Amino acid sequence: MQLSADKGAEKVITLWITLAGVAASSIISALAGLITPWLLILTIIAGVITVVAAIWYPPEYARHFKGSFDGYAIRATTGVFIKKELFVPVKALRTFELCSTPVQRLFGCRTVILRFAGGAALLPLLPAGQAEKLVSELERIEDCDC
Amino acid sequence: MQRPHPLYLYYDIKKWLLLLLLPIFRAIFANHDTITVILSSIRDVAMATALIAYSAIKWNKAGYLLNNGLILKQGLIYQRRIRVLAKDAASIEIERNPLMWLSGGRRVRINTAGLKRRADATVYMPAKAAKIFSQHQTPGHIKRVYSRIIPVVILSASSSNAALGLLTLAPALKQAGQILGREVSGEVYGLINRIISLGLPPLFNTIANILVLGWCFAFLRTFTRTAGFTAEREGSRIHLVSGLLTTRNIYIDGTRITSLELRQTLFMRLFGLHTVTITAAGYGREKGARPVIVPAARPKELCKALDALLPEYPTCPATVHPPLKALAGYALPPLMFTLGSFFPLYTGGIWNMFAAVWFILGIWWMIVRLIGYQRAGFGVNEGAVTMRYSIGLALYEIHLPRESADCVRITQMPWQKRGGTCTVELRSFGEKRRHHRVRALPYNEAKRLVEMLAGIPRNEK
Repeated sequence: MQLSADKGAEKVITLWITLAGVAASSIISALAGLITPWLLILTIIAGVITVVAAIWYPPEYARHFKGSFDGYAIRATTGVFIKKELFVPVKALRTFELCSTPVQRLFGCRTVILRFAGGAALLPLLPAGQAEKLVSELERIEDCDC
Repeated sequence: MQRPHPLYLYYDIKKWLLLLLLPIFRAIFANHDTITVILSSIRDVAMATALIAYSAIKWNKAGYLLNNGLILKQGLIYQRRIRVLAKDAASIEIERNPLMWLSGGRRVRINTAGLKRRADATVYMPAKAAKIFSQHQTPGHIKRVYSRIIPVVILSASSSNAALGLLTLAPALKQAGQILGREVSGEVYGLINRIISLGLPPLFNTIANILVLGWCFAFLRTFTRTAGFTAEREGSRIHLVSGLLTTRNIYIDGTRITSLELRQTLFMRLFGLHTVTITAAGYGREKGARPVIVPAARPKELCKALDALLPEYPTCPATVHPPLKALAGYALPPLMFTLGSFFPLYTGGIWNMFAAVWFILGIWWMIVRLIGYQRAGFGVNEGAVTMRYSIGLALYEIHLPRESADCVRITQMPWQKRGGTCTVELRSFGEKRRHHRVRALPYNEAKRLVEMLAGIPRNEK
């Protein structure tokens, strides 16, 4: 079973980058009003960075996100600048969760949380269908073990 | 059910006893008339007495029963009844400090596996009753390991690298105080500055003395905790005895050991000594708990000790090591830190001493990182995982059974992608440290081992 991020994940990330950029620009603008108008240059820079990031980063994230589940272990590769590969053996899993925020549900995404004795790992912004299929596969394996 | 030993009452009351000191402080420091002080004191004493009476009633109502495990009943407002079966006890700790020795009681703590502390039970019982835990399972089949005194002294002397750092800092502070006093008083004419120049050298001296006393205290504390250390293996049970003033008898189920850790500071490396600790499900949660099975031993003694205590524990060699080009990554952070010492050196005067201490600490860290690079490694076989790395000023070697390895993460920073290296991070179950990380391993070889560890069959890759 292959896992990948789709347009829904891109839209969620675009939305979060936009909101973060607007918040940062607002704060810097407020500080510019309080301290010195020269800070408005930072506001412009923050705005430009936000626009570039919102256009460039989400497709790159989706392109770099790859995952698979073969019945033995869950593998996932994420990260644009810093590449992270995750390996979680099925035997190590204690519980797993399927969760979503309202924004994720709006764009058809889910987050799968894999919990093991030593902590937890996240598979964020999976398409709803893939996430549900992964969870049902894990449940099937768990039932077989029982 | 039997009532807990009266020590329960003492340890429960201890927290209220400070209230009895309030009237004394008020009488000495408060600026009120005598009647007000007396009335306030009566109120404080009445409150303390009520709380002590509450503790006494709690003790009277508490009870325990030893029957194929422990049943413990305690609490007055919030009542608890805990049952811990013998087979669920991952470890049992029996503590005897001088007060307990005088009163004939023991504190027994039964730990269970699992991350919830509420599944553990602590009970105060008479020494005779506590002996039931030390009954031999298989008389005659006991393997014992004793710790020698000199390695324990060395371990205590370097109970942390900070201890030696403080020893170098203390004389530097004294010197700095004297220099500051001379320099400032020579150039100053104002009254306040003269007062400061007179006050700073004694202040620096005091701080230096405190640091030295602190090191002495740490030395004595570690020494009294680890002197006379004995470890025994009997069946599947490991029995650890340690401490001079406060004796601790710890019984650990050998089948629940999830990791074995060898730790070595730079100071201990000079003498070729290692400390071995274990992680066992349910043991080691308390603050300050260090489940040591070998306090300090050289490699030959270490192998003998581990063969006696953990003969069946799986290990494997570390087969993947950082390449030569990764040496720069290991050396760069301590090098930058050491070079930073030239800034205070450039300032001169009193800052020369701090620059010297900064430089020494930087070189110390550099040596540890270089040794860490030389020893770093990662290995996997059918039964075990091994990782070797350095954190801060200490070197670590971890051995885990494969089933204890929960999640592995391979991270590549941009410069690591270019160089074909990666950082491997392993998460395992444990009561304390659960993350183990080795930097700058060759990517392809590390990934092959990680996939083997995750149980991915080779023909599916």
